[in-house]
Amino acid sequence: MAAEYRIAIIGSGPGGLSAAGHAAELGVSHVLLEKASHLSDTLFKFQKGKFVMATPDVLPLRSPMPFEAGAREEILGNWDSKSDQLKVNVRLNTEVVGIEGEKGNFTIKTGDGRAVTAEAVILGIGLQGNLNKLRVPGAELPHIQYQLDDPDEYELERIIIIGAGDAAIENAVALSKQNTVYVLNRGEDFARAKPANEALITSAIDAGKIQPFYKANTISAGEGSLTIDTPEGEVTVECDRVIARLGASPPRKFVESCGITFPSDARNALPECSEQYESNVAGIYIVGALGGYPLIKQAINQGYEAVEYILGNAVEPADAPILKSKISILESDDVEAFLRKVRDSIPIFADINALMLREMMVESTVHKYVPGDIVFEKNDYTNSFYVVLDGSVAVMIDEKKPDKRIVIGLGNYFGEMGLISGRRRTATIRAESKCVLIEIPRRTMIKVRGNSPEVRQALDREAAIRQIQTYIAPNVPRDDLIDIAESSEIKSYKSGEVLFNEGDEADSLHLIRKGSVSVAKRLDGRSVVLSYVASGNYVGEMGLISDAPRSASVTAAVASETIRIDGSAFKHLMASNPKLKASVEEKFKDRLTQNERISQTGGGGGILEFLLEQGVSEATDVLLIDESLCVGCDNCETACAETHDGISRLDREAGPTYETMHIPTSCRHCENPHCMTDCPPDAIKRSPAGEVFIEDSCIGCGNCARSCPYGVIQLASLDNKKSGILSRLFAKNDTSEKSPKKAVKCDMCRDYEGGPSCVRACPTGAAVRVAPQALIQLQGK
Amino acid sequence: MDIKLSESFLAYKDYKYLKISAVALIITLVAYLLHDPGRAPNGGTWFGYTLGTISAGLVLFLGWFGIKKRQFMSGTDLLKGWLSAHVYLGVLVIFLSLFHAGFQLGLNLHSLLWTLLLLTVLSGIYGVFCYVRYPSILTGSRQGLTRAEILLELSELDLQARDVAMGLGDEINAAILRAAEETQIGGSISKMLNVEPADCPTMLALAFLEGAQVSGEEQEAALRKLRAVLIRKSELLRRLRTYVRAATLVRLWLYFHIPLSIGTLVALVAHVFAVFFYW
Ligand SMILES: Cc1cc2nc3c(=O)[nH]c(=O)nc-3n(C[C@H](O)[C@H](O)[C@H](O)COP(=O)(O)OP(=O)(O)OC[C@H]3O[C@@H](n4cnc5c(N)ncnc54)[C@H](O)[C@@H]3O)c2cc1C
Ligand code: HEM
Ligand code: SF4
Ligand code: SF4
Repeated sequence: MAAEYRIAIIGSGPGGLSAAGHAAELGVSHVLLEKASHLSDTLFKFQKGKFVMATPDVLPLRSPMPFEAGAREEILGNWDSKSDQLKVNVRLNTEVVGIEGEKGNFTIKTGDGRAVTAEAVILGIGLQGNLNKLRVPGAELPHIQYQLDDPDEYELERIIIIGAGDAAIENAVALSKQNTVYVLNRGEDFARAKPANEALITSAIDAGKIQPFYKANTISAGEGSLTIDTPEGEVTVECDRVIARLGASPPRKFVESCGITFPSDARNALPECSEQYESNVAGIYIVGALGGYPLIKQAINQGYEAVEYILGNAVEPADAPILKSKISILESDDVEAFLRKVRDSIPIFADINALMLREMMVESTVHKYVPGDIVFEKNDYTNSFYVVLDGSVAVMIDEKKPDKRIVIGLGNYFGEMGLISGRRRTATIRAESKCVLIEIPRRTMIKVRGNSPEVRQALDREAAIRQIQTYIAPNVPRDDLIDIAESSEIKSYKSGEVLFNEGDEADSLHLIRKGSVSVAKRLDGRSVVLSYVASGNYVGEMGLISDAPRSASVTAAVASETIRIDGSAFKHLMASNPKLKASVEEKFKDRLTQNERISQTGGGGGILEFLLEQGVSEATDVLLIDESLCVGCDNCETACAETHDGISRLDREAGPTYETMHIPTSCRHCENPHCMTDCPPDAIKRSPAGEVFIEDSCIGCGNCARSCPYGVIQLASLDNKKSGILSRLFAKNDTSEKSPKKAVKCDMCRDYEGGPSCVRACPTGAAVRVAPQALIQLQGK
Repeated sequence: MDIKLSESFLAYKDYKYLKISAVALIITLVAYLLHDPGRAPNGGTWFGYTLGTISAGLVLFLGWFGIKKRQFMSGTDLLKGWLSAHVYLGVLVIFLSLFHAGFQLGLNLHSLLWTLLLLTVLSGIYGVFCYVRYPSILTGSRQGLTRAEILLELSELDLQARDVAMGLGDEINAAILRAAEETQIGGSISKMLNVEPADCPTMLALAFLEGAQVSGEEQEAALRKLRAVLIRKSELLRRLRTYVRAATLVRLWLYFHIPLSIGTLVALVAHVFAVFFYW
């Protein structure tokens, strides 16, 4: 039997809708299946009136679906009318639950037990996933819901919130203002949430505003009630509403069930696709956010292109002009030849998938240098990774001795150490000959690494050799380190996870390559933190040298990675390298004395623990206020607002305090900024001096604000722009044309020569900005 | 702070401006004693002129601080350095002006200037005292809570108190209602400075409860609970008022210092005019 449709499109987001529109316009038989009761559910769920941005500006739009920056309502309205006009064959309320068959004859099963058949499938289901639902008797009752749009809508109700994550907490706290709220938590605390949210809910519970049930599970729901199992027994709670915030299951499972494979288990892994968006299952095409293109315009273009590819037409991808402009510096416009050259001459990219290579190049920059040019300098902050496409560069081991350098040639790469650790560059790089380099942004490279086990392995292996050489054995020739690097192992630890315990057998050395650890010892029955060790240092040498069990426990202070070097292999290496042995023994002696000193004084009090607990060890620069000096004049906030469009990016009073050390809410410019990971237009950048800042291309999606554990990002419209007194007097007070909300946060006054204006403007000297490393190390003195 | 990261404006650059002022003071003192004008020392000698010019310059410099404090966009220096100079040179200027006038003070325009200057300087010195004394009270009074959190907890306690009072007599309910609705923090200056105002409805309600008569065990228990809630509330109120008092005091003196300093500047202009006009 012939298939009903030429193309079935699943999901009516920008990607799917554009594909359907294009098919309709060409008169190709098609069906668009959407599980929601309206088109484009992801945009539909944006906040009312949200201003949607059309980044990247340089990318041309090709699709019958119109799209320009504007209000959510306007965009959705345009899409609705356009799809009517084109007579797009859409079926709403139709969830796809499985795809079977093969190219030319797919059977697409839907949630209502029916099926459609099609020759090809375009999958554009986005990344939002499915909200997890309750699976108890009564779960279908109308007073149970899984989302909360506007907490102010509800008043004087009894509401039960199920869940202990950020969403559950935010809902519970917001609702508790005007309602009686219960929170049902399966665990015994809220440690899974962000610290700020944890503090919020704990204080709301302490103040009696929210009634918690711990270690509780839902048994069943009845009309206007919920029955739960608690340690005290079964209880039935009367309620007007139940809001279950059980998280969403990412679409990966569904995608895999269709036979599509992912290259790795990494959280950000994307399904493998050809350059024409075709997955490993021939005939199934993947577009939009699911395929790794996180912006609306990209999704729209892909929808269009996928239809063309299915029809067997060759279209030049929409990003071709971008790539052409990138390589214009090489006086060429042959994008394909350039991509081929990258693949052929750079071994680590030999096996990555074509689409990924292309996307990587869209985000990268091609540079040309002449001998002597500085590519980057030692102690700059890292934000990119480089590969050598032509010529060679030199790593300057010692700036004063120009002949002490390592030459890196064609096909090789550098900058990988910072990629892993997020720390400053360890050496200056100069062009050795005329050369062409590709600079790949940190975030892009991390994505490539997450999606390609080959790249990851190759990088890790080489990085281990270079890291061991840089941080442990600078005098040992590289060749002597290969074996030990091969036998080492990369370990990752979550924050709070133990590397080893006091009293364990000392069988290895850990070189910290990302994050940091704290070293603690039991003294009189309590655990005292002896020191904090940052990445680029090693721990565990003490046991190896003294042949004794571990003398202290080592715990990851933040999410960390180490290179675990086998103890006997390391002893062997020391035996053949007297210089190495001497330097390790030196370190051993230093630490022994320091530990002894701290043990005898009973530890530095709680301040080190406080700082570690507040995550200060992952900061590169943190604002502190000495409360024994602060007079509360708020000149710091005024100065910040005056220098930043009238919006202060610091909240002096908020934030934790220990004795007189107060950490106000203000960006800490983290080593591995959490805020950067999920920014669709990649608008969050780090400058060489270390400031993390947000560029104008921000689309205001709020992902960064949600990811930052320290709550320092606000979404604000910047229309309070400072203008002259006169124009302010005469300007009409029109609030109708508010500029779109964007994410704002501290940028350390990078545009001002004098540095952070909060610190400059503090009359008393209370406000200081410090590198926590200096702070934490001071402690040991 | 346990670890000394911050340095107060007073200690700026190892007391650089204190040292400069002290040295300047000693040099002027010695010069003043060695200098023999041939008549009673006054502002009219070349020595007097020199000191007068320096003093006037210093006063202008001190006034400039008000502008400097509002220049956020430019400069690479720390405001605390400027305040450090302001404070130490400000004290110096009162001595210099005395030497300048040869200690001749009478009832005239020139002495008005000097009086204003003295009052400005005294208010400044008192300000420094405030800047040293109140920060620790500001922090200590809040005990780790923010003002907003204290306010939140206060309204929480009010709700609790009204709940518990439900089963008690009308008079108690009225007192509790008044405590909830009429308790004020701050207001007029005198209220902001008063940590335990006698007419605070919460205190009054607490006093009223002491003498209240109730019947039955249930009501007794409720009364005890009510008392506990009000005691907690009055304790929080005291903390918040201590905070408000300190926050007021740490700023209040500026309302004298600034007008006085403007007065001084005006009188200085008049003084200079007068001297050249009558001369
Ligand atoms: C708060 C926020 C703000 C943003 N702001 C912007 C912005 O200003 N500019 C910008 O360019 N980008 C923005 N983005 C990103 C943008 O929303 C996405 O890039 C875009 O929606 C991705 O489109 P898509 O077609 O891949 O998938 P989606 O838009 O996610 O659409 C997927 C569709 O598939 C449906 N679906 C899912 N599963 C099934 C199934 N099994 N069966 C049937 N249908 C299914 C869904 O209901 C949904 O309608 C923002 C994102 C967020 C979260
Ligand atoms: C002629 C003498 C002085 C003049 C004209 C003068 C003027 C000023 C001015 C204009 C301000 C700015 C106020 C504001 O805008 O907030 C100020 C602040 C201040 N002055 Fe003076 N002053 C003088 C002497 C002194 C002295 C002698 C001291 C201390 C010993 C002093 C201590 C201070 C302090 C502590 C501040 C507050 C700083 C702040 O919080 O910003 N002043 N003064
Ligand atoms: S915004 Fe938050 S996550 Fe990003 S660098 Fe600042 S503190 Fe770190
Ligand atoms: S400027 Fe300094 S003294 Fe004023 S509030 Fe800020 S930290 Fe405190």
